[in-house]
Amino acid sequence: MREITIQQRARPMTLEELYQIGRAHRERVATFRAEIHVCGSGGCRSAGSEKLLDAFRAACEKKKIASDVRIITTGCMGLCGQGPLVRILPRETLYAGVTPEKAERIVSSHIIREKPFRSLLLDADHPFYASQTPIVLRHMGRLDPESIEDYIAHGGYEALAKAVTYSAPEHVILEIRNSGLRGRGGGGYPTGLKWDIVRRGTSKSKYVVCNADEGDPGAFMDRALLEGNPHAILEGMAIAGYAVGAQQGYIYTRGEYPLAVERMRHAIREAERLPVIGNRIFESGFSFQVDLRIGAGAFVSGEETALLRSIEGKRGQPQPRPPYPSASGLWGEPTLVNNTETLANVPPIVLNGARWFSGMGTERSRGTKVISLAGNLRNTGLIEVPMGTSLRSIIFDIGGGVRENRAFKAVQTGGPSGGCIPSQHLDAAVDFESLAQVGSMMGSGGMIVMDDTACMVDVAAYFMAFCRDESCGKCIPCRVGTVQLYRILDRIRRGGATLQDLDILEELAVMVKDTSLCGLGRSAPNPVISILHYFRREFEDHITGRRCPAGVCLMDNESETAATAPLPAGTSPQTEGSVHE
Amino acid sequence: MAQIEKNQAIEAENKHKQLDRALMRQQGRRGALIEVLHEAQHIFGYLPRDILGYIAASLQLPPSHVFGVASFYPSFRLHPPAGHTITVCMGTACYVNGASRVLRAAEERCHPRAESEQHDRIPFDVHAVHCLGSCGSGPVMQVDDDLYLHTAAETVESALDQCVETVRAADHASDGTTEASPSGEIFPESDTSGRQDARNNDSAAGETDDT
Ligand SMILES: Cc1cc2nc3c(=O)[nH]c(=O)nc-3n(C[C@H](O)[C@H](O)[C@H](O)COP(=O)(O)O)c2cc1C
Ligand code: FES
Repeated sequence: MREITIQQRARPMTLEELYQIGRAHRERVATFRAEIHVCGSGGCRSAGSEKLLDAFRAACEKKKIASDVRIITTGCMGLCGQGPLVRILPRETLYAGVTPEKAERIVSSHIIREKPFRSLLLDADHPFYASQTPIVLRHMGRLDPESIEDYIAHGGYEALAKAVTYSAPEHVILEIRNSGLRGRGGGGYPTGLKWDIVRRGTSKSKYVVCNADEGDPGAFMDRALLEGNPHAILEGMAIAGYAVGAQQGYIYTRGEYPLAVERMRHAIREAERLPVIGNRIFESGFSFQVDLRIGAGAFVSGEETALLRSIEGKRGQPQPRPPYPSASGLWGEPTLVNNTETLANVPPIVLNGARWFSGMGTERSRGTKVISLAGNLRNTGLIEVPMGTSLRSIIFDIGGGVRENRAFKAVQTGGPSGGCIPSQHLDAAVDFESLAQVGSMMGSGGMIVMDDTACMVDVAAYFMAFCRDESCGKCIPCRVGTVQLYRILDRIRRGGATLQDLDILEELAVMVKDTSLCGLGRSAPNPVISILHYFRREFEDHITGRRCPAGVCLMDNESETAATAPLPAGTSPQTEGSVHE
Repeated sequence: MAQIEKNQAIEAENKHKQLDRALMRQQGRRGALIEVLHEAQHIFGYLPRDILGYIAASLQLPPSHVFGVASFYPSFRLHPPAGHTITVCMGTACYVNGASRVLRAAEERCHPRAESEQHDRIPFDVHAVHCLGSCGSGPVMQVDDDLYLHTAAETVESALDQCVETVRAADHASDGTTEASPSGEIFPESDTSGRQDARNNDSAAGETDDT
């Protein structure tokens, strides 16, 4: 797993040397006649982008232009649902759904004859890209995540070099505070404020932890970042380390993301080799190391106190706060825990200034948000929009609306801690406050659109099954409450409940919310509460009418008459029970 | 026979050496246990009891602590895997696109309930996980290390066919067994597959209403 450790250069790098590397790389790239960028991120990769890479190489060989064309694998290009995506320069053009068979024709058309290959062309002003504001994703799909030189050529590590050379740590913190950046991991806590608290801790050893545990099902922002621009995360961490006075950083990510792990390992090695992380970074007095830690499939370990226990090699169970990690975190020392996207926002803020950043977004939610769009939508993928963009604009303009011309029913935001928002609130803005007002939350940025074939009772039961499976069992309200809530929901789904059950459901939901130990239990009832609020009719249909309007759930006695037919979606207790292995 | 046993002994010894190297690398690093468990699982395919004990002794941790950690995290296997694994994503994005039908289809193939179909059982473990991180392209299914996107219940059939072929071919090549070629015979014509993808094709959405 671990490869040879590259010997660290004794001497730290200078800012001038950094510029030199960037310049040299840009000059080298400029000598190419053309560039082919093949998306090598999760979705496109499994849709066959590796074969595609070979096909493009072969095509260039055949046309005898192999040495004139720069072919690279990049991070996510956004429109995952139409992958594999390929970008060709010059005359920047994006091609969608590219197959190896088409590689040669694209090469001869676009590069040799200088005419776009029409049939796979993605419109230059495709609505999916038109209303986005890429800040965190600005380099995504444009650089080679396995080349530190490429990142440097795009202005990488300049923010770190400048911060440690010209700014006092207090000054960096002030800049982050003034930018209005808030945590992207779900809570929305002001980042500058958190940094300041850790900075004030008097201990000699402090830590910076990047939370890349992305457990929300249906969300893949952090994965895309780790795979597509790992150095931006390292740079953000190092700047955070400098600001708070930490010497050691940890990145905690999921074992389910093998490519992200591989890319991050590679990035750390490269950064140590130059060195841009290590001893006396850019000849300053600041030294910083980064280590990678890999989770083992527990959702609750994404909660910050649980995550720290997991890094310590223990069971990833949450602990009561206070003490907060910023006061007593890893091995009892002050620890800064920030989400991946939060940290990826740091280098551009340091480079462009707080005013630039706070000019985007809304009064209380500044900047942009990366969102993973999925579900029953035309255009699914990874997007970045200014805070305050309406749900409608995201779903219908960028997402292209509901697939197969079905009717929109709800959009789920915030994962298992969030809620489902119905069509009457489609004009709600995507920012921390507005989403909370309509009974959901921002969460990490996963957005799942459901059409009218979804049964909301089934969805409520689905989320409760998730929380039941993922409850760590430490506190009773969560461990027992989620089981009971699920049982009631399942009873409703099977047509065996009474209206009284609805009252119990509501009462129990509030109790679990109020009395659980950590965020998992405290937010587990959220999807149920919001669905009950907006879609109460569907619950009543199941209970009094003993029918499922969407045709998803099968009532108990029906399953007897239809014993030979398999049950439709989500009605089988085995299926539900086995959600987690 | 003796040769086989000898080979097995050598292999076991090699694995232990690998584990020792992993333990050496982690020496002195704080909180190394989970990293070591990952590496051990990578080497042995799962975490055998005696290995957990060995790790505990090497890291000077109480065995109860090591076992407690290993059993807490769902990714750690305490029992040997069946050989091949089908992982079906039951994350929200895949779920709303019909992942439960994919899961059902995979389960029916690998663990058929009917006695008569038992001999066609495929030696795959079927797991459901919460998200494989390709949510834009769901439902997503993984067979060993290969990811399949946009799987509907009906494509599961062909995907399964395909991977059974490749997996069996590979297995046969490696152990030299001469079982009859399974092609075409593994899956008896299923009368259920059509109905399982109810929500994927629009007309079938009404079908369940009629029942
Ligand atoms: C059950 C649970 C799961 C969580 N999972 C994640 C996660 O996967 N990624 C993440 O960044 N934060 C997660 N959080 C939030 C973290 O506890 C923490 O607030 C966050 O990492 C702080 O970073 P930020 O200030 O940059 O947002 C989770 C919280 C809870 C209660
Ligand atoms: S929900 Fe299936 S891959 Fe994320």
